[in-house]
Amino acid sequence: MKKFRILSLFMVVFIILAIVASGCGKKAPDTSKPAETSETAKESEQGTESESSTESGESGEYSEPYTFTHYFNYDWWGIKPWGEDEVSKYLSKKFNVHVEFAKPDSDPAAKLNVMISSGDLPDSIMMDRGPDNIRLARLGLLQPLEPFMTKNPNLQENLLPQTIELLKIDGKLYGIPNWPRTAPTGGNDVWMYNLRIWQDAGSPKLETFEDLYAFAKKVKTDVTKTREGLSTIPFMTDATGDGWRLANAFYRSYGGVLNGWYTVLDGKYRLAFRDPVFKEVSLELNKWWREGLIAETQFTDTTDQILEKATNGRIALFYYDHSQDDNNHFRKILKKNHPDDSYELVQPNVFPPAKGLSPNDIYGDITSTVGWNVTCITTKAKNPQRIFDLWTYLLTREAAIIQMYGPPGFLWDTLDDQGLPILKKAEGELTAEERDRLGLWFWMIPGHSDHVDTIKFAVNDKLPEEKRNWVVSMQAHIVTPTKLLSDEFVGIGDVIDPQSDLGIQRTLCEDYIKANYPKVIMAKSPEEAEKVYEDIIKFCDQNGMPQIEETYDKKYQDNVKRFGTVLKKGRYAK
Amino acid sequence: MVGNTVIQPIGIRKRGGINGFVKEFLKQVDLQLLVIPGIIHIIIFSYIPMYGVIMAFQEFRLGDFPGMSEWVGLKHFRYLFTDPNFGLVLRNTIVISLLKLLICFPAPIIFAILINEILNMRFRKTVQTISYLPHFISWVVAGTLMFDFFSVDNGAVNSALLALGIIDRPIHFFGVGEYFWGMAVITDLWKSLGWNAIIYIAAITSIDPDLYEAAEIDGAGRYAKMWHITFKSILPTVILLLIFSVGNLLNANFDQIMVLTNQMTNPKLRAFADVIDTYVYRVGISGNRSSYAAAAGLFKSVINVMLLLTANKIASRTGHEVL
Repeated sequence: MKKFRILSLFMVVFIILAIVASGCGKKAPDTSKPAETSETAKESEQGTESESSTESGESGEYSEPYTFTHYFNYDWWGIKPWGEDEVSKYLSKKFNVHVEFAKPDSDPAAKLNVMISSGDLPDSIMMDRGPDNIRLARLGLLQPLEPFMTKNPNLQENLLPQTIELLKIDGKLYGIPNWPRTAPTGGNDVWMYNLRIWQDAGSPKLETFEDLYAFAKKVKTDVTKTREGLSTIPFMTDATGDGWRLANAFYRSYGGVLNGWYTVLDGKYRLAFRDPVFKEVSLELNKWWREGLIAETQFTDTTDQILEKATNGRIALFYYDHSQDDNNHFRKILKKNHPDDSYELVQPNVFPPAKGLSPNDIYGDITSTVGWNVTCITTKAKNPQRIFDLWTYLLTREAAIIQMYGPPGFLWDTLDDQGLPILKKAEGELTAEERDRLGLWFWMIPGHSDHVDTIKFAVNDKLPEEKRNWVVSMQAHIVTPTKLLSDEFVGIGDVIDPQSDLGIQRTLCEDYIKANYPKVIMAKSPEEAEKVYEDIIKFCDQNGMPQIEETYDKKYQDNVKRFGTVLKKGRYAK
Repeated sequence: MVGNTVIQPIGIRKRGGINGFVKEFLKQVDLQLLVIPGIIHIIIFSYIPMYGVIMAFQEFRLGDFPGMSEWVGLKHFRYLFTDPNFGLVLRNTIVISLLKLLICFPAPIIFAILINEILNMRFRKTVQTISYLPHFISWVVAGTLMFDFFSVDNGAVNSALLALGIIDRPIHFFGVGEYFWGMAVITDLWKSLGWNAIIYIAAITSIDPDLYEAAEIDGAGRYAKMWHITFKSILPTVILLLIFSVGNLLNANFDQIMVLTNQMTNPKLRAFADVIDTYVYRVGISGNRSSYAAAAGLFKSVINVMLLLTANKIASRTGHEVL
C-alpha cells in the first residue's frame, strides 16, 4: 500500500510538472524558422560594391553561406524545396543561399495576424500590397529597401521611377514588386470555346456578344451531351463565389471597365452599381442563368471541380484566365484524350462587343506598372542585403531567361545576337518531369512581366509553328495587343484604413455586395433580380458608400493627374 | 466552471472546524494532489485567457500589448447589435442549434435503446462499430465525402433518387440555402450518432437484469420494458447530457459549417449558414477586428451560461440529477 502511495505521489508530481511545462513553456522551435548559421550574422554591411545583375558572384560578399526563411502569404501557393531543381541550384550557387519556404495551411489573414502579434515573422515574405502590407510597415516590422538599392541597382534598372514611387509607404520603399512592367504585355482573361461542341452546334460565328449567347442557347437545346455521353455546360467561368468574374466578363463586352466593384462614371470613380450599363449587364447575367446557360454549380464549384469539367470537354464556352493552370494543362489533357477536341480562343475580338458596339469601344485588361504583389524583407532578417540581392536579381532580363529555360547547359548553351537563348528542344516538347527537374517557371518569385513576355514571345515565334506553345502564341498575338498600361487605379483602396469607421462600413458594403450579387444573377425573374440589385445600392447608400466614393474619387483624380488615363474610348471618351 | 462543484466532499462539513478540514485533507493528501493538475489546467487554459475579454471594451490594434489598448466602452457591442448581418447570424445560430438539439440529441438515445434489443451479439457489435466510425473522420474529409455523395454530377444520392424515379432532375443539395439547415443536421447526425450512443449503451449495460425479469413477471411486453426499465434507468444520464448540450447550444459546430460552405465562400449558403462562430472568425480574425470579435464571442458566452443555468434550474425543480 505504501509503495502504491509513493508511486501515485510521484505520478501526480510528474503530471503537474508536465502540465506546467506545457502551459508556460516556450513554443517548440518552428520548423519554418531558419537553420541560421551563426557566422552569417554580420555580413556585407560594409560589403564591396555590388556587381551588376549580369555578373555572377560567388566572390566576396557571398562567400559565407546564408539561410533565410521565405513565407508566401497565400494558402493556395505550391511550395517546392529549394536547391533540388536546376534553376534553384543555379541561384543557390550564384548567391550562396539556402531558402526555407513556408505558407499558411489555411486562412492567410488569420495566420498573418497571429504571426504579427506573436512576433514570429519570417525573414522574407511575399504578400499583397494593401492594408496588411501597410500595417506591417507602420509597425516597423519591414526593412526599408533604399539602403540596399545603393549597393545593388537591379531594382532601379528594371522599374519605372513612378513604379517605385507608387510602391512607397509613408515615403519609404518596402516591397520588391512581382510582375512589374513598363509596357502592356501579357494577357490572361479570355473567352474560349470547345471545338467539338462548337462544331456539333454547326460552327456558328462567335464575333459578337450576341453570337456567344446564340451559341450557348444552341448548346443548351441541341448539344446536350458530349460525344462521350456526358452532359454539356453552355457557359462557365473559373471559380467566382461572388460572381465578380461573370460581371467582369460581361461588362467588358458592354464597353465597361470594372475595378473591384467600382467603375468610372462620367469621369468620376463610383460604385459600379450606379452605372445603368452595369445594371443591364447584371440583368443579362440573370437572363443567362434563368435560361440555364450558366452552370448550376458555378457558385459552388471549387477550381478543381471546374477544371475537371473542362478536362472532360463538357464546357462549351469558358471565360478563363488561360495563362494559369500550368499553361492550360486541362487543354493538353483534353487534346491528348480526344485528339480532335480542343479549347480555342474566341477571335478576332477576345471580348466580343455587345449591342452593336465597335470592337474599338471595348477595353482589354488594364494593368499597372506595379504588377501584382510584393516581396518584403522583415526586420527579423539578419542579412537583408543578401535577400534583396537574390529577389531583385529575379527582376533582371538574365534571370528571366534562367527562370523560363533553366541555366545554360541543359535546354540551351548560348544566346543569339538578340540575347535570346538558342533552344535545343522546344519548350512545348518538354515533359512534366523534365520541367520539374529543371524547375522552369517555378522560381518566378518575383518575376518581371516585360522581360518574361518579350523573351518568351520572341523565343516562341522562332520555333516552327507546330512546336510553339499555344498559350504564349495567344498572349503574344491575340491578347497583348488589347492590353492597356495605366497606373490610374493603383492604391485607391489604400486611402481608407480598414480599421477606421469608414473602413468598417466599406467592409460591410463589400461583404453585402459579395453575398447578394449572386442573388441578382440567380433571381427567378427579372423583377426579382432588379429588386435585389436596387437593394444593394440602397444598403450601400445607408452604410457610408457616398463618402467612400468621394474619398476614392479624390485619389483617382489625383492618380489621373499624375499618370494620365487610358479610358479614352467609347463611353469614356470626352 | 460549474463542473468544479460536482463532487463535494460532504464528510468534511459534518465534522466542522478548520482542524477537521486539515485533518481530512492530510488523510487523503495523495487524492487531493490528483486534483491539482486539473485545477492548474483550468487556471492556465480557461481562466487566464479570460483576461482577453476586456478587449471587447477596448480598441485593440495589432502590436498593442493585450489589455493595454484604449477604452471605448460598449462601442463594439453597439456595432454588433446594429450590424445588419448580426440578426441573420443570430437566427442561423439559434435555428441550427435548436434543430441539432431536437434531432441529434434524442437520436443516440433511441439508437442505443434499439441496439440494446438486438440479441445477436456479433451483429450488434458490427452495427455499433460501423455507427461510430464516422466520428473519427475529420470534418475536412467528411465534408469532401459529403460533397461527392450529394453532388449534382453523378452523386450517389442523386443517382439513386433519379434511378428510383423520385426526382426528374438532380437536386443541388449544397447549392440551395434553404436545404442547408437540413444538410447540417443530417451530416452531423451521420457523424456523431454512433459515438454519442456509446455513453447510453454503457449506461444500459449497468441496468440490473433482475428488473427486466421482474417486469416480465408483471406482464410487461417488449416496448413496456424498453420504456419503463431501459429508458427510465438511463434518464439521469440523459438529463445530465441534456444540460451539457443546452449549455453548448450556441456552439453550432464551427468545423462542420466552415467545411460544408467551402469556408463561407459559397454565397448561396451564407445567408443560412453564417453562425456566431463563423461570424466571429470571419469578421474578427480574418478581418482583423479583434475587439469586435471579442464582443461577439462574449455575447455568445453570456447567453450560453444563462441557458446552462436555466436548464440546470429546471432539471433540479423536476427532481433530477443536476450539476
